[in-house]
Amino acid sequence: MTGVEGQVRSALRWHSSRWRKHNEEHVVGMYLSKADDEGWRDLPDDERRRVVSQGLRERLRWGVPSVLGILLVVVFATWTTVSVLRGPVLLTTALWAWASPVVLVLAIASYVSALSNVVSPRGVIGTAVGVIASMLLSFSWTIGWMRDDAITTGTTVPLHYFWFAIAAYLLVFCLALLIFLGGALEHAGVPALLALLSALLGGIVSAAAFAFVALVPFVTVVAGLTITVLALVSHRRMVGRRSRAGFVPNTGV
Amino acid sequence: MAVLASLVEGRRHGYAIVQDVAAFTDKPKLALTTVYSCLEVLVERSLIENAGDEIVDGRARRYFALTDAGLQRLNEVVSKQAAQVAIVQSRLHQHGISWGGAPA
Repeated sequence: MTGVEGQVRSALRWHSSRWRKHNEEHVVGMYLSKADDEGWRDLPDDERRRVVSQGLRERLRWGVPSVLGILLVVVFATWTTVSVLRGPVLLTTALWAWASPVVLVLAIASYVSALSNVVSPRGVIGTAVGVIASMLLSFSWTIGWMRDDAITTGTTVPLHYFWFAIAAYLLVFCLALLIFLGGALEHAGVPALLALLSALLGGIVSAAAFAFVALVPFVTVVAGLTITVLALVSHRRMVGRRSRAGFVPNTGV
Repeated sequence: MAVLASLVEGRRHGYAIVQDVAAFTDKPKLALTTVYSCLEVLVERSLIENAGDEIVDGRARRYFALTDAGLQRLNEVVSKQAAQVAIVQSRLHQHGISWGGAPA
């Protein structure tokens, strides 16, 4: 086995065994022919990165059916909003202590998986609408709970509770809106950098509201921003793949 | 489109498609991952099909061939692009501009 062959096979381990069983040999053959033509002694780093990222996308694409991926996003959105909005209560319980990392892992997996699977504008809109609907429902429910609690105890709802709720809502709403508008903005000719900066600004404003007004645990802020960045990266990759699949002239492929 | 166009002349193996597409699109550094993911999508959509595996010089080669649906899709894309080119040519002509931007 040559150096290039071993490196290609090693990088291809990032693909699923199902994919490798069907495709590995001919892909290795392609790389060996390319290595001969280009005079490679080792697999270049950028090629290795491409093979690895392709493998991850392939695993995510086949790992979770698209409908399940979208459902996961909606379930996560509801769960995390309720958790965040009721943070002061859950923070004191053991539930929140172990739920936080689980929420984070589930969030990342579900968003990336769903976005990797959503290949139609209708699917993207469906995901965004699902997220927004679940946010609105949990937001309304939490405000109702706060009001009932205040009536029971004969107190008024503190103002920062509303900031808390609104900030949480804004963060995920920003994310949903970005998913929804990402492709449309690009097609409308809005520079990708402008969209990205707006997204980051929205995330930072929401995070600041979270951290300084609502006193949300730091891990939640980090989770929110991570999800936003991952969603953006996945979405851009998704648009790229859709362009290739759709024979858009600018790719030439 | 370039992958479909590459298969019009008959079946080709993966790396031959890569070379043809790279020349066609004037992208000599075209990534193999780009092409093989594209081939997967085209097979999924039944626009191309696997046309046999062979071992040549100890290396596995998978051949691909255009399907009827792929040929039809290629025709549609080419017709659409030809119509767009005709419109651009007509507008350039109306403004007295020749190909390349110089005055006619």
